[in-house]
Amino acid sequence: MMNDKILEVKNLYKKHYNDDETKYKYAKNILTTFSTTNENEVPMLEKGEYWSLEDISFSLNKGDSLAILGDRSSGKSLLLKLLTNRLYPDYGTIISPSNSTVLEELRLGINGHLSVLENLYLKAALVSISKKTVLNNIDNILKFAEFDRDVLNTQWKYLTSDSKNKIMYSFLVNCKHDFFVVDGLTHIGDTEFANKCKDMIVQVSEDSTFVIATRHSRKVKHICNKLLILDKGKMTFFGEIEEGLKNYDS
Amino acid sequence: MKALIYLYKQLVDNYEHIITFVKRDIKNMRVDTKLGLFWVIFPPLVPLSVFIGLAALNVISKSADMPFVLYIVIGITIYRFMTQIITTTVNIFKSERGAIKNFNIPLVVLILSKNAITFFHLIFRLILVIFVVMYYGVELRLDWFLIPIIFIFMTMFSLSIGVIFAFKNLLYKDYAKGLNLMMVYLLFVSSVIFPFPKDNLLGIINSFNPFNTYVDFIRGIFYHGINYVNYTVLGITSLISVVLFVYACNLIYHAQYKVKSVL
Repeated sequence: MMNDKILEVKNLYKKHYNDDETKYKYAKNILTTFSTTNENEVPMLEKGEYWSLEDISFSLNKGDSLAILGDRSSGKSLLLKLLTNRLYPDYGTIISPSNSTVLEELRLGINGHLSVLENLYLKAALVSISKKTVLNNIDNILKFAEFDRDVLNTQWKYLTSDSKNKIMYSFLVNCKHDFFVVDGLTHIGDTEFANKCKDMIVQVSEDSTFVIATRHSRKVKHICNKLLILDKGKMTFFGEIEEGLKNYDS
Repeated sequence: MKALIYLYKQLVDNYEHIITFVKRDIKNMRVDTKLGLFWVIFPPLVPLSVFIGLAALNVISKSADMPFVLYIVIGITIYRFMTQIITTTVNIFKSERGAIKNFNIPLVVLILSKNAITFFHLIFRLILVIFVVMYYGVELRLDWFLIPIIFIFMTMFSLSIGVIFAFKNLLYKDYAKGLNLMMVYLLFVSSVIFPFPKDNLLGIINSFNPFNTYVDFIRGIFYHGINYVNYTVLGITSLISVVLFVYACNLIYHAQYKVKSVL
């Protein structure tokens, strides 16, 4: 049913380049083409360009959770960036929720000189979450990360690397938007904490539109119901996960 | 118009985030310094003292209609505000590369929050300027109401130049380097430290140099009042500023997402 669709991707193409000359051409194009829409037909590849994603189409209904599988450089992270509106496609359309939570490099955008609380606000600003949401969830964030309130005034740079990851992870899963995206499953803390994270991811996948990109098929088997397989930027499978994994593992 | 409304909406939607970014930058400014906010005043004091010294020694010509200390203090404060806005904006893709590339934060939010520090500096310095003005016997006057209005157009102009050159700089770094050199040169032809002759052809051409117009008129209003202003020149300069501002907004509106592919 059309109304249930929460994410829809149609004929998605994204170019990439591998030389400075093409980069210069792109930059020049930005300054001269005053248009926010992409082209009416699939653009031709020019010298120095290649397709990093080619003709990707799929849709997710409410309640679906999607695993994107593929080897290195297959275009998984790029597809996530396009789905979360952090990049524009060269051709094709993407209809996706406007706000998303992306679980990837956890400490991106953090400032070591600020306190933990200030950094939570800063990260919240970067991922479009209000201060109010942070404050409402502060107890849950601290509880999951296994800290008490005293840590909020600690300068970020004096935390251990593990503590930083725990706090940011806890912040993102507790203050999440309805569209939740994970780029690779990172191992955080000791085994006990890592298991807690896995349980949390399962819970998040159940109560939000969930997309995860990974190279490890066994990790997503129990989290997702849909699977998209990418191979060098081309979609080789989209459908039910059991069926897809049979192809992928064989 | 569509671009202006869109960018305005982005600012309104993200006002809370702008405050967070500004607080981050203010805190960063004070990190690992003992003198903290006093560094807002110290940097302009260096050229100020040099130029005041040179004027006192008659090495550079002085303005006949204003005490030269006052002339230089106001000139440098305004010129520095303009160049700081331009430099901050030109470097936006460098200073906020991570945020632009990895998050969905609108470019206009980052530009405004980065420049908030410059406004903060300006307020701090303007308070000092007012003290200097009053020291020279100038009383507070109603005429000064025009100054904030001129500041709006001056800010529009500076932001626009910054945005245009930030995008140009994506092509070649020469644009930013050239602009930096140009701003050093403009210091000497914009009536910042000594009056630029107005009665020859070069002077007439230079009266349309927006840096010269803004510096000269704001200083003139401070000391002489609104009668000092040539409204034709101010009108044309303001119009140029508005046109550039609309162009810069369109540039941001159409290119802010595309730009991620070249960062």
